Amino acid sequence: MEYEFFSVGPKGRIKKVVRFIKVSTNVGDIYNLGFGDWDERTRSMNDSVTSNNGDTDKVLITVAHIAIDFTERFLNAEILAIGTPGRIRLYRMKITHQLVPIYTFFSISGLTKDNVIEPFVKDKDYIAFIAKRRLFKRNPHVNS
Amino acid sequence: MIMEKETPKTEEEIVEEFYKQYKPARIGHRTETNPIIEAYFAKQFEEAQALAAKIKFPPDWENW
Repeated sequence: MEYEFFSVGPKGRIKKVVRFIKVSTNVGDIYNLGFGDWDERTRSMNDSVTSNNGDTDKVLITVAHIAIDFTERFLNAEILAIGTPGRIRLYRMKITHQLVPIYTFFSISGLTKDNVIEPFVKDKDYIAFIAKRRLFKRNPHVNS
Repeated sequence: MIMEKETPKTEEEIVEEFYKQYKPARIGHRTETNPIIEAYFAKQFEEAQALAAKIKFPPDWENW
């Protein structure tokens, strides 16, 4: 399932594309949160959560709303968030400081560099995160 | 002075507060196909699948 929205700022309108891709684990399927910017000028995609467009929090809040919507359509879906070390640092910082309060809807686990899952610990380095939905209510901001 | 005990918020109230406070950008669903985007996500799939296969889940993961 794929979503799109625009980052709007000093660099103009940048199209953000989010796609949930099913991947297999030894306990069943989970969904990777794929993310990228579509550059209409070069007709290319790039893997950047921050486009330096002055709206990083808005972008991450929008991604959180998308994850909420997705887990309402696909109940019990678990979401895997990976990315560049820079992106993972950004996710960790935002989760730690609850700037994007995804705790409201999800329980978050961290994946250590030894590939072990553990409950998220503030300021600890992880290579990925897994989000499990806990609160349910229809997201009114997503247009079907 | 007697302080009134604050009533814990219900899940409904917490969710409502989230939607009021944290407004997303306008979100749409992609329907068009684009080979460049397909190739981009195919690469992301490969990376994610390689990592997912290595994850060591705890035995009681279902209850986390």
